[in-house]
Amino acid sequence: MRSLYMCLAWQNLQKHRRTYVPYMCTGILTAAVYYILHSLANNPDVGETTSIMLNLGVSIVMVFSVIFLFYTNSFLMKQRKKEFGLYNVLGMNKGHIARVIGLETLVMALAILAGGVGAGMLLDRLIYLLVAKLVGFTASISFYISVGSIVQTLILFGVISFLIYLSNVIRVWRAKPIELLQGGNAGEREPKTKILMTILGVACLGGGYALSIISAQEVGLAILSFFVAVLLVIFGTYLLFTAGSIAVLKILRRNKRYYYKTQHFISVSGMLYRMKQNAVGLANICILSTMVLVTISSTCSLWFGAGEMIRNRYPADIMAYVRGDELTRAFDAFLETQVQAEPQATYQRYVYSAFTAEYEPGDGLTIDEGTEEALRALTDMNRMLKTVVMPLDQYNTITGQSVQLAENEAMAFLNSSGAFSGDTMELFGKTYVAVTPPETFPVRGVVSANIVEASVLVIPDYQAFLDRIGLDRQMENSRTAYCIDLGDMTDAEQSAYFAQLFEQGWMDIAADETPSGVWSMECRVDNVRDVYSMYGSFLFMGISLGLLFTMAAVLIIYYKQISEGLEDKTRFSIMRKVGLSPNEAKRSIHSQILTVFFLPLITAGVHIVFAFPIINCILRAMMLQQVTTFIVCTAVTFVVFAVFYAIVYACTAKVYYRIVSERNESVRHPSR
Amino acid sequence: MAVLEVNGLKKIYTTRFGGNRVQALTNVSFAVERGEYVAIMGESGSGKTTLLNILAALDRPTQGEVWLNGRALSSVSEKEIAAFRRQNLGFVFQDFNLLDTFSIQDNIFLPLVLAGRHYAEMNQRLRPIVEKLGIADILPKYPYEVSGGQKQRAAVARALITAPQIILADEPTGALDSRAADSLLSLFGEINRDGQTILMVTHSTLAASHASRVLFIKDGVVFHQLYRGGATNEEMFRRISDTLTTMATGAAGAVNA
Repeated sequence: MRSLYMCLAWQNLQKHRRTYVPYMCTGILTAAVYYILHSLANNPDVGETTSIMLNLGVSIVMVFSVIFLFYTNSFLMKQRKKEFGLYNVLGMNKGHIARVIGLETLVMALAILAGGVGAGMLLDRLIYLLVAKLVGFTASISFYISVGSIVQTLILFGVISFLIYLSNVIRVWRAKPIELLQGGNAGEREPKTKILMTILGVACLGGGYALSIISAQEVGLAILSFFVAVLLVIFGTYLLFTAGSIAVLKILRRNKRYYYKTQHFISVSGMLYRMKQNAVGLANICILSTMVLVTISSTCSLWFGAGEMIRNRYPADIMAYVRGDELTRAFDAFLETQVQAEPQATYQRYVYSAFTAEYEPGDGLTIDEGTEEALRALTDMNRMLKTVVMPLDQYNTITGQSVQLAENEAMAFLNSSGAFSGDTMELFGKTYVAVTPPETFPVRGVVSANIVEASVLVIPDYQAFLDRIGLDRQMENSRTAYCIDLGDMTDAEQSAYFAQLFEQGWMDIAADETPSGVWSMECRVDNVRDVYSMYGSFLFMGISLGLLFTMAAVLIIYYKQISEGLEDKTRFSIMRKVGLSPNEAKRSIHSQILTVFFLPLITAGVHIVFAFPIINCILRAMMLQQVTTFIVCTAVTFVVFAVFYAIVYACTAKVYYRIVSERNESVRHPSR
Repeated sequence: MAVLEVNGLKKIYTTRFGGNRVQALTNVSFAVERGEYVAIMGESGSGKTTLLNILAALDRPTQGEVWLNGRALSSVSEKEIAAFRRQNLGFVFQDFNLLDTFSIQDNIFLPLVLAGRHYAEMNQRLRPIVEKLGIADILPKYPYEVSGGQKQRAAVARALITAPQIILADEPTGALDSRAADSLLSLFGEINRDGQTILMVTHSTLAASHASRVLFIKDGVVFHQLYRGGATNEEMFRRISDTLTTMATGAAGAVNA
């Protein structure tokens, strides 16, 4: 008797492999991701920042697994209602059915656990090396199995499987056999147009979009309103997909010229018929896609931006900034001897003064006694401009030009984009006429480590300018920057060299002679590690969660199409008899699936476009300097996602077409 | 002139793995004249549905030929066949085969939409047909909102709207109660008097008694046929019953063959 149930359970799984295999794959993948994240988070090599990030990821994956496996399971059970009804009518009682379901769940659970942990262990090493590369710790190559993670994975997915089993048994228990038999055949009424819901949806979506654009003016506001905007957009998406889609389809149907064309006729009516159940699925897909796009594109931007940020901040391996004449002279002498002692090292120095200027785009730029005060009260960051003033001869040295300026002329350019839109500049009482420089270069180092834009002014009379601003302000704002290159020393050597010669050697001099002045020094390799361990873990989490969400979206789409295919089978069989050719059927199926597929993708695209200002603003606060990095990352992510999506579309359309054109269950059984 | 001519049809089904061969039709030949109303009778398994599938170009015969309006069905390519079907044939099915996703009106329009006709033309054709069938006021409703008889009338309207050469009806009264069946049969009679050729497959004696000629199929061959001549429906009914009795008793030895 026992083997009979096993037989039945096994046969059921085989018969429903079109739906159960994807379910199993999802389970395996989710379990594998969970195992990998868990084992990485508890790996002592990864470092604290990364470990915290990974633990956060573990919790997200856990919540995701529960929701997602339940969701797919409920889909599978809905498909099988009729089958359970038949068992019931054939004389199996609910206890027997529960036993069959239990065995099926057991088989699936074993497959998921074994497959998940197995795949997890296989991929663990690979992912570990990837994370090591991203985050920048030195990885040990040995194969390593985390027993704790295996146990944790087994427990989590075991419990989920058991809960799913319970919910299925309860589902069967509560159903009446006649209901089970009728299954999904309940005729659905045509949905009513809900004008109020449509308007509300448009309002929510518009509100979310507007919030994103308006609050992007200021970082604080942007961070505050980000979640409100997200909620509004999610809510608006659900409302619009449920109410708006019906309204649109009805308008399409009312347009007789459009509607009474073979493809539109079949697809519009088909979509309208089940839009009520469709809409939520489509909205889910849309929101999942948006999440994938946002997470991957912003973590990628931060990662790529981090490299850029470091390049900006560290034009050379070691950067030193010195303020005060005496100290500068002492440092010059120190460098002279030190750098000569180390054949690898070379350096360059330049002088500049840094100010904060009040800037009126299109008009001009002012720096004087009152400016600092006035700016302190100003909250609009767009009118604040970091400004670097440097002498003309130094500009000529850096760029290799030989520019001559008249006494009242000055060259001006913006640090990031180059173009400066003002006509005049007022520097402590003297007005210069702006001249466009033949060549620009970004002033890097501490000046660019700032979220506001910086401008560069090159003046011919630097010494006169210093005299004009007075000694106090000279002491406050003038600096000499030293860019020290260490040739091809390794990272460890650089770090050691910096620690020994500069921190210790210079510290002794600075302490001994106590020349008046302020200095600071930074070494690139020391800082790179911190930056990359943070943004690297961001990127890793972004990609792994992004993949998981993508998989969820794909599975939802696939299941949706399969269940629709099963429902549409009868329809297409009837239409074939009335005279629908296979080609026309194919075309109308494509038109329908195309809409179902690409509506969420297009909506997700629109969401991304409107989310752009607010996310860009937040990323800027996280030190991402180049907007283009984010634009490129977003565009690339979207294209990759769309290509992937198109592949899934093609596969799904194929399966759908195959289901619909299967003849064995057609309306009229041919007598054999 | 014969609208439909069937010549030596033979159909052998082979199971998927080539093991069993079932002969559904042995040798069927007959002709249907323009304006005729022919009923084909036979028990379950006699091959009548197979015959109808072949006539509808849904299935191809193993041997023999079907001529519709002088054109051999075997000369119609697989590509043209859908268009050929909707231009020349009208279908009425036992279980109506209306689509739940369409209103009654759109269900009737379906073959014309598939043929790529304009809405104005479709609408023009629709009016007289629905007036005649008495379903003008249920046009905006959906199939699940109307009765079985109304559904079947809608299906008849769908078959008529393309002005087909011949209407193929498969057990059209099978899913109807007796009143709805009566009214549908008299409707068929009316349509036929307007000149529409009808071929109906049925095992209901009552349904067949409305036809002008009845063909009896048994074991894959045309066993017998009855002409109405001047007989009333009641007389036809009696003669059909007699024939069926003769078939069942007289050929008792062949039943198990």
